[in-house]
Amino acid sequence: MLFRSKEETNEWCQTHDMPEGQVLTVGQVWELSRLWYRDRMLERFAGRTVEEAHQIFEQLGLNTPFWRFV
Amino acid sequence: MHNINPDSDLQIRYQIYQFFADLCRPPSSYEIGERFKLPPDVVELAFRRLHDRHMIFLDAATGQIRMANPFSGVPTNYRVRAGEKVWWANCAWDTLGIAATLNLDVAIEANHPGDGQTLSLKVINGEVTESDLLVYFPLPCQQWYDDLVYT
Repeated sequence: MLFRSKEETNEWCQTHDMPEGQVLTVGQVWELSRLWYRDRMLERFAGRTVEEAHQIFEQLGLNTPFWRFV
Repeated sequence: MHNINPDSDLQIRYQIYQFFADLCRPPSSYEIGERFKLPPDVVELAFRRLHDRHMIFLDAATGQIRMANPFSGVPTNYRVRAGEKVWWANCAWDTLGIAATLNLDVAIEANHPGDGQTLSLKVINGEVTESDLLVYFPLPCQQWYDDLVYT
């Protein structure tokens, strides 16, 4: 979901009884997208391992338990 | 008897993505079957294996393709436009994911979850506008595949 501010995000989460989750800027998510999706249109793309996924997150400083698949 | 090996599944995956890129919608098992000269039920088994590998996501009721991230096979609150083409994305992240997947300049529109207003941004020459807008991820990675529609 897309929000204008952190305050707005918090208010919406409280109103809808949603978890705090994580909030990234669009700029951060664009960098994440470029790493995560850059190979999706390649014929040889065969998915990625959990370790490879974690490496992508870590390149962006996303190294908390929230960004771990296991 | 049609034997499909993992490499063939990946060829089908590739065609699914080509289909989304070209036509902004998922192919049916019949349409993929025509390309590979395979009966639909054999294609549907390949769809199921790709689903089990989290490479596509099938609609539980129809068995047809609901998602091939970042593309959505059904209308959502997230739209991505490039020229005459408009794709549906599964979430805010996936709007940018479509731009990255297709390596295209795009215009993105998302409905604000609170007030319903349209939030707009663009990707132009590899740079994103409105980069201070925020994307909310409700669930940690470990729960992403518990209910992918909710995620």
